[in-house]
Amino acid sequence: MGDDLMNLGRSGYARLVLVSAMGMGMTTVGCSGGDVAGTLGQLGEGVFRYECVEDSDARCNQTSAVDTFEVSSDIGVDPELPTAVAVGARFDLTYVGDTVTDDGEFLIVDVEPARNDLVTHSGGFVIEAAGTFAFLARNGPKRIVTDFVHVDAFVATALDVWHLEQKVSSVTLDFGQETEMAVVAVSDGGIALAGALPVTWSSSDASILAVGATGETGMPVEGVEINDDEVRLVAVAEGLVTLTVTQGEVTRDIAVTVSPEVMP
Amino acid sequence: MRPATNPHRALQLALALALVASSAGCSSEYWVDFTYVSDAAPSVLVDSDRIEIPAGLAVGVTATPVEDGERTGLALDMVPVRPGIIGIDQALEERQWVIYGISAGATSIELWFAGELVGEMPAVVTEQHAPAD
Repeated sequence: MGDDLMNLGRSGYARLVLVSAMGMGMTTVGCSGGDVAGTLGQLGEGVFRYECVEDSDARCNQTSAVDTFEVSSDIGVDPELPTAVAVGARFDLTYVGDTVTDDGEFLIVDVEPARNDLVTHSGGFVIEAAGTFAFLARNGPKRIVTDFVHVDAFVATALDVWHLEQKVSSVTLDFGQETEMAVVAVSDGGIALAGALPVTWSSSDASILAVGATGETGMPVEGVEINDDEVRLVAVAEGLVTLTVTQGEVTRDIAVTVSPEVMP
Repeated sequence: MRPATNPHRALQLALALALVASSAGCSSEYWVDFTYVSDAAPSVLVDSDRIEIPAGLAVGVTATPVEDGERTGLALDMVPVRPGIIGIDQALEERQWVIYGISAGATSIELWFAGELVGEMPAVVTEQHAPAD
């Protein structure tokens, strides 16, 4: 929480009066009192909180593959809004803050985009084009906006692949080694992009390098789709393979060399 | 002995006086004073003459109704003629509003002072240029 105080330009705390944010099908109810982390709205009435809706969102990366200090400067930490999201990627926003009028009326607010021709909502928001998009905490029937925030969206044009907190284009693994890698979509300008885009990982030769879901143990089962920004690798046998990751419309190949087995 | 009156000159004077009388306040002038209360992108313009905002962006303002050059405490409502182009909603703070571009196009905003329609102001929502990253 202390770290968030250092980022007042983008984050802040809202003194919770009473919260009810119904985010277009999702209801978030908080309790009175206490501070809430997130990104302060433009009117200072509350905070907007970013939420991942799928495992493939690098914003909620769980492994140590990624140097979160470097990535977090772009993607963000905790529920702060990221620097930007990827066009076509799924994410969600909730609002926590003051929703009481001067007359003492308590409002139910939805988080909704200012324009809904390029921002859709289906299990999360999806921004369909590059640009800057306002999200409003709004009570439509009463035409009241309690606060708002802007989110930037860029097209993902490249993928950074991370291993042991380093960006890599090739790796060498020891025979039998198990490790993790992660992928982060980036824009033309190199901004790490948040949001869930469909991800696939594949090895050109599963008999040399097997790929599986993080958190599992044992030999990964070949052919299982891993729609996650993180992947578990098992070096099965000596050789050279290509690890391919595709996220959205972008593909990246990583050369993986498995060293020979060391005989005792 | 009084000098002779030039009839053409008299007519000119009469016309001039009539013009001055008609513009001097037979009817009141109404407008709204705006002040930004949030960040405003360079492409956003909100002033007493017009509103211009890109589609997808929002800005917070205070809005004070003005009648004949004097700020008033009258209740204010601003209603887009084409609500599919621009949104203008009240915020929680008194006199605060949030203006947001919904879809590129032009419309006008009805100005209502104390429940009475006093005029309109033009509003244009522009298409956004893709941001540089």
